[in-house]
Order: sequence, then structure tokens, then C-alpha cells
Amino acid sequence: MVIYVFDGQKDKPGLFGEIDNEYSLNESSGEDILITPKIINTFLRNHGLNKELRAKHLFAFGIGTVTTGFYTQWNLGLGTAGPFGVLAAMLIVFWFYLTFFTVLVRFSVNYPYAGGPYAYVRQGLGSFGGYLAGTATALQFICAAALVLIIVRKYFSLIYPELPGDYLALGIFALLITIHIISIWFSGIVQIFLTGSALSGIVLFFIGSYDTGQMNTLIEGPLIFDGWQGILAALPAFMWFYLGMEGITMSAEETRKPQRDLPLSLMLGLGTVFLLSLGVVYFGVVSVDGSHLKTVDFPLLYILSQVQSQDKVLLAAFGLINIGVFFTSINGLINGSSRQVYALSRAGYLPNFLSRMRTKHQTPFLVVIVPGLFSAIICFTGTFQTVVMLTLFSAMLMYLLVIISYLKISKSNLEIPYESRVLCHPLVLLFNLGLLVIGQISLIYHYFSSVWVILITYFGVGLYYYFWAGKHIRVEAPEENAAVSVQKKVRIEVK
Amino acid sequence: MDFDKRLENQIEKDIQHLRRLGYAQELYRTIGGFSNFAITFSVISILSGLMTLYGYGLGLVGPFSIWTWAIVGLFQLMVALALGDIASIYPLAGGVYKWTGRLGNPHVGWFCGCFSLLGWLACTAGIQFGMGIFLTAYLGFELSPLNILMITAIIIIAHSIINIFGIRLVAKITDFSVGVHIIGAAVLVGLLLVFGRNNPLEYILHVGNVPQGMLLINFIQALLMSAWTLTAFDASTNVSEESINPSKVVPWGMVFAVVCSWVLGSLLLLSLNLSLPGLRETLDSGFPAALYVIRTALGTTIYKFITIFILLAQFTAGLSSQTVSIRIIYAFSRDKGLPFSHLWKNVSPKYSTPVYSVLLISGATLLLCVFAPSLHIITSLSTIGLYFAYAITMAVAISERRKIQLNHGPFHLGRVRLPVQIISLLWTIFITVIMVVPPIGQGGKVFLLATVFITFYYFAAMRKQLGAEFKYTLE
Repeated sequence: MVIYVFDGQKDKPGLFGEIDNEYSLNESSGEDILITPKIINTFLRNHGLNKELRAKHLFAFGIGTVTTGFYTQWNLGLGTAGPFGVLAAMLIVFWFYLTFFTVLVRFSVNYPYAGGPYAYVRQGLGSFGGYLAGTATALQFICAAALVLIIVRKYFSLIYPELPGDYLALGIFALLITIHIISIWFSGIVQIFLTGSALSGIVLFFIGSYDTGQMNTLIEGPLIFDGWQGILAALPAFMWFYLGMEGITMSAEETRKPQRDLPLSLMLGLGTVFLLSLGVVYFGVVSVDGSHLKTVDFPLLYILSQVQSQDKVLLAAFGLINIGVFFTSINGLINGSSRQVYALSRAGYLPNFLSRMRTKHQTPFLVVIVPGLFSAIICFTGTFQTVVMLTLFSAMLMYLLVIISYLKISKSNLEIPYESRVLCHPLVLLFNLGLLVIGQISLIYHYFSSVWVILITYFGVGLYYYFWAGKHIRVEAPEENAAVSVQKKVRIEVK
Repeated sequence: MDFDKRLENQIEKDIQHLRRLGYAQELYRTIGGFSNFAITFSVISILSGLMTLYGYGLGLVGPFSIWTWAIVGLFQLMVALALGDIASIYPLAGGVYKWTGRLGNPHVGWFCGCFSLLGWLACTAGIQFGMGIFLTAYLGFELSPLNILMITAIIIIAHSIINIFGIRLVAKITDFSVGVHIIGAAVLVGLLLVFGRNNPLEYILHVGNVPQGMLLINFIQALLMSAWTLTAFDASTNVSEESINPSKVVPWGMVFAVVCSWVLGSLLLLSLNLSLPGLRETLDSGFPAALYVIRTALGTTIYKFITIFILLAQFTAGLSSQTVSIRIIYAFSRDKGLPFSHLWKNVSPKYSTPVYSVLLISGATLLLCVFAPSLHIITSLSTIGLYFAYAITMAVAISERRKIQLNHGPFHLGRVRLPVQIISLLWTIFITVIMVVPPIGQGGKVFLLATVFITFYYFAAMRKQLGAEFKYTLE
């Protein structure tokens, strides 16, 4: 029998200097001293998720989550950068995500837990770091879902004003939540279908616009507006192509072969998104006047309405596909937020009742409903700018913490497939950290009027940890157990 | 007991069953229920068969041709049930050829297998030739015989390369094919019904300009469109030795595939007929009728988009059909039932595929495409071969019904077995006859030639062998 026993030393200081796990030791009843495999197995039996997903489901969840980025927002980057500035900005964003996903691949095969970023940061930066990364991820996904709901409402009011857009948006959102509660497999199948439709829409866009473009549009006028400042300003717009794809890692516990499927779906998804984004931006830029394109809300629909204005069937069909695309993203975001909240709740950071399961399919239901309610409330109470700010800030904060955590524990010789020393080289990651810091500063500068939201939110997050979360950590949770067994405990063989 | 353990036990049971039937387990058992359904569904391929022959049916009885689908669907469901009843007893690669050989005698089995093989060869050629026509039109080339033949040759080569080098890819493509068919058909039907509707519902009773007294004959002739599409569902039986729990999943796979294809095909034909811009205009367009309807009703961009799905469906159907034909050749030559059997059963140690069988099938389908004057002849020949093989199987099943009754598998028809078998027999004979006898039948001469050759070879080489060695191999 193997028993894990504390070595008597206190945790290393966490990210902000407090002593991690101190409270957990006092709170757990007896299990604080001896965390046996039996206890862990019992815990996992009560809190384990069904392994029902394969690479195709993960791929659909990853790509599906980011499809909205192809249909909206990216055109905002055109205004400041110019054609070649746009290409440079796209390449920088791709490079960042390539290196970041390489880090995620390394982490995800070693720590295949529902916590995802929380689990990874927990290893390197202690419990507060893990908690902060987890809440940042949850906030990112909850706010992104709210953001897409805002976009849907706007879309309905612009394109189908005769329909009750708000009710429809909420109705479909509730339907997706219900599907998610029924079973993750069912939700995965729905996601494959939705993602297929969304990608078909992009192919339809390519077919509709490929022979209408003018190559000389690219070389007319300045190739890069505003120099490097223009490129920097364009970066957030192209982040929408990839933002949220990291949600794949949070399906690790529900994946049949996480060691194979997580890296495969992450990297395949990244490559697919990059190629599609190049195509979308290229056809967008060469098909219509960029000065108009950067001002519209739904660029692909706008482009098709300009170049295929006679084809009413195409426009009507594409309009319908757009609606499906938004809900594809929402379904992926529901998955991400629910699994992150589930992991935080299971580990005691959030109230434990949230991670309660439906017995039939082992699906947690409150972690789907509660973040969903938050998204719906934010959608109707928050402004677009505030929600964008909170989403991007939370995402970049999480990226920052994951990279720092990786740098901190990279000496532990993790055995990982798809190894790339170049992409995970400390210098490369430090460069990325620099980019993220610049990105955060740029974000705050651009949305300065909404900074108070971030301050209040994260102050609340910190207070909550200090007064409640930090005192209720459950060491039996796999993310906690992995961190503790790796860093803070010694293993004793007991015969 | 956990899932993996149950799976292992089931595979062990399947291996024991195969051993009792006289064969060792040589192929990997990895195909589950869905993949089994997928193979049959993608070989039936409504997006391939119906779209290819839509113009043929339209030319004979106008939009009324949709009713051929209703009739054929009903009877083919009977045939699928009757064949499933036998498949559950004999889950062996080779399908109808093995069943008749075991239920009746090796001589009947061999004849049945030859006609089945002929049907499958022509089926593969028909799908590839049909795709050749569609791809030529899609790429904007002139629809001349040479252009079509060259494109068809490229398709055949592509299929052969995949079958030789990427046998694992074949399984993935087959699974993918189900998605392509369901999504493609659903999107096409939805778009046509919502945006492309030109005619009222009563239009499906319109028969076009059929001469006086010719309606019945034309309608029977138009049965080819549906009869060719909704056939070849014994595809999944040929992978029985690679399936998990084949006695159950193979029959159900066939029945589900027929029902799904029947429903989706009905919707597809309905939507095409309701979107028809004009019967004469469509037939005189010089373009494949189904593509013309889509292009006119939905515009050029959506036509280009949706045709990608149709071409993908045709490609995957052709690939599946070629794979099944290769399995039949392999099963046949394993029992020395073909000239130069030692060559065809040879499996490449490098690629784990019967390379010579692939080359034989590719050469034969290409020859068929070169020498057949039209697509109707190829599809007629395929229909004759497959239906005649079913007819032989049904006749043997009726005569040996006690054997089936005593050994029935988990999928069985119980008391309705005999009526279903009799209906299936009469139906398959009816289809074979109308495809052979003029003026309706167009494949009579080729079929006669093939029958003479098969009979000659039987008397020259097989009769003795079937009496001794072949019988021994089977039992």
C-alpha cells in the first residue's frame, strides 16, 4: 500500500507570499495527515467525470469555441495596421499561441485534470496562484459567453428585427445548457454538428468571394499604417481567432486517451484556425474596401452582401449559418466555464455543492447552470466594452500565470510527447511574457474607463480567497493531490 | 464488469463462433455497430445513386419517379430483413456467397458469388463513372466521353491508391462518409425546401409527356433509379470477420442503413422535385439533372458549395464499394473459387492489403467504363448481378428454412420468416427480369454473356473442384 504523508514542512510561499495549504491541513478531518489511495479513489468515484470524449469531440469543442472570431471582431484590426501590418500582427498572435499551446500540451499530458490552467499553475505557483488562474479562466469563459450573447442579440436586432431576439438567444442558450447537463457525449455530438456547420459557412464564404477579389487592393496605399504601433493595436483583434481554444484542456478527465487526444486536438485545432484565419482575412481584404470593412459588426456577411448582392439565397442561408456559429462558440464556452468551476469547487475553492453530480451520466449540473446564469446576467447588465475588457484581461492574466508556472517547474524534466525545445525555450517564453504585459497595458490604456471593473472584480476574488477559499481546500482533489505529491510530500512505502 | 473486459469477452466469443464455422481469426476485430452501419449506409449512398440517376427517372416519368423510391424502399426493407436473418447465423466475409454455399451446396454458392461479384464490380464502376460525370461538369469541362473517362480513370486510381496504401484510412473515411451523407443531404433538403421551392406538393404526381399507354412500362423502367441506389446493403456482411458481435450488429446495420437511406432519400427526391425549374428545361440543359436543379434553385455559390458534399459522398461511396469488391475477391480466392486464385488472395506483407485484388478490381471497373456505352448499362448490370444473387440466396433460404429455424442467431424473423422470404424472392426475381428482358431491360446482352462465361468456367474448371476440395474448405 502506498501512503502519502506530509513531510512536516510548510508549503513554499505562494505567488503573493502567503503560506499555501496551511489551512487545508487544519480543515481536513484526519485526511490531512494520511491521504491514502483509497481516499483518493473514493473521492474520484464521487467526483470523477465519465470518459466519453475522443479527439474529434475535443477538436470540435476547440475550433467551435473560436468560430465566432471568424465572423465578427477581427475586422477591427484592419483599421490600424494596413495589409502587411495585419499579416505581421496575425503572425505574432499565431506565434504566441503556438508557443503557449506547446506549454499547454506539456502540462496537459502530465496533469490531465478538469482544472486545466488551475491545475497547471497550482503546480508551480501554489494554491493562490492556482486559484487565481482558475478564477481568471472561469471569468474569461463566463464573460466570453456573455459577450457572444450580446453579439447574438445585436445580430438579431440588426438582421432579423422582426424576431424576438432576446428570447430566442436565451432560449437557445438554455437549450445548450440542458444538453450539457444531459451528457457530455451528447453535447460533444451537438458540437461536432455545429462546428461542421460553422466551418461550412467559412467554406461558403471562400467560394462566394474567391473570384471577386482584387489583388491590387493589397498594394494600394501604405502597406503598414502607424508603424509598429499599428501592429500592436491590431493584436487584440486577432486574438479573437484563438481565444478560448485552450478550453480543450479542461475536458482532459472526460477524454478516453488524454495523452494522445489532447495534444492532437490542440495542435490540429491551432493549425486549422491559423489557415482559416489567413483565408478569411485575405478574402476580406481583397474583396471590399477596407475602410468600410473595419466599421461593420459582421464582416463576412457584409462582404458577401457586397460581392454577391444578387444571390438572395446565399445571403439568407449565410445569415442563418451565422446564428449557428454564435451558438457553436457558446456551447464550447459553456464546456470551458463549467469544467473550470467544477474543478475549483471540487478542490474546495468554490462552494462544494456546486460540483454535485447527476448520478446517471456522472455530469455535474450546477456548475453548468450557475456560470450560465452569470453569463446571462452579464449579457443584460454589462456594456460591450466592459465585458470585452474583462474577458481579454482575464485571458491574458491566465496565460501569464501558466507561463510563469511553466518556467518555474520546467526543470522537473516532464516527459512529454510533441516536445519542441525551441518553442518552450525560456527566452521564447520570456518574450511571450513581455508581449502579454504589453498587451495588458495596451488593454488598460484603450479601455481605461472600464478599469474599475477589473479592479473591483479581482479585489473581490482576492478577498474571497483570504476569507473563505483558502480555508477550505480539499487535498484529495486530483489537482491538489498532484501538486502536493510532486512538491510537498514524501512517499512512504508501507507494507 | 467494465467496458474493456466485456469487449474482450465478446471478441473471444466471436472468435470461437468463427472457429465453429471452420475459419481461423485472421483479421482484426475492430469494427463496432456504428462503423458497420456506416459501411452499408455509405455504399447505398443516396447522394451518389439518386443524384446520378435522378435525370434518368425524370426523363421517363417526370417527378412521378419519386414513387419508385417508395416502392423499392418497402421491398428492399423486406430483403434486408431476410438477409439479416441469415447473416446472423453465418457472420462470414463473403456474404451471400458463403451463405448459399453453407445453406445449400458449394455449387449454388459459387454461382451466387459470381453474380454478386459481377454486381459489385458494376456497382463500383457505376459510382465512379457517375462521379466522373459530376466532377467533369463541376470543373467546367465539356461533358464529352473522353473527358468523363479521363476523370473517371483518375478517380479509380485514387481509390486504388487508398485501398493499397491506406487501409486504415479507408475505415476513417467510411465513418466520415456518414457525416457527409447526413449533413450533405440535410443541408441540401433544407435549402431546397426553404429557398428553392418552385412547385406545389401535387407536382410529385406529374408524369411529364409520357406517350399514351407507356406509363406503366416507363415507370417500371424508372425503377432502375431506386433499385440501383437502394441495394448493395450486404456490404457490411463482408466485414463480418472484422466486426465485434457480428451476429447482431451486421443485420441491424443493414436494416438501419436501409431505413435511414429510405427516409433521407424520400426527402431528397421530394425537395428536388419541388424545386424543379421546368421538366423540359432541366432535361434539355445538357447538364446532370440534379445539379441543374440545385444550381437554378439555389444560385451558383451554393451550388458550388453543396456539390462538394455530393462529390465527397460519391468518392467515399466509390471507395467503400471498391473495398467491398476487394473483400469478395479475397474471400472467393481464399476458397480457390477464381482463376489464378493464388494471385488474388496474396496479401502484401508491407501494406497488409491484397494488392493484386485491388489491381484486378481497378482494371475491371476501368474496362467496364470504357466499353459500356452509357451509365444506364453499367447500373443495369450492377442491379441485375446484385438482385440475382439475392434471388438465389432467397430461393436457397426458402428451401433450407428448417436449417435457418434450428440455428437462428440473435437477429431472427420468427414466424414472419417465410412470408418475408417469399416476398423478397418474388421481388428480386421481378427486378432481375425487368432489367434483362427487352424492351425495359438494357443489360440483357451483357448479362447473358457473363452467364455463358460463368457457366463455361464452371464446367471447365470448377465443377470437379467444388465437388471435392472446395466443399472440404467450406465445411
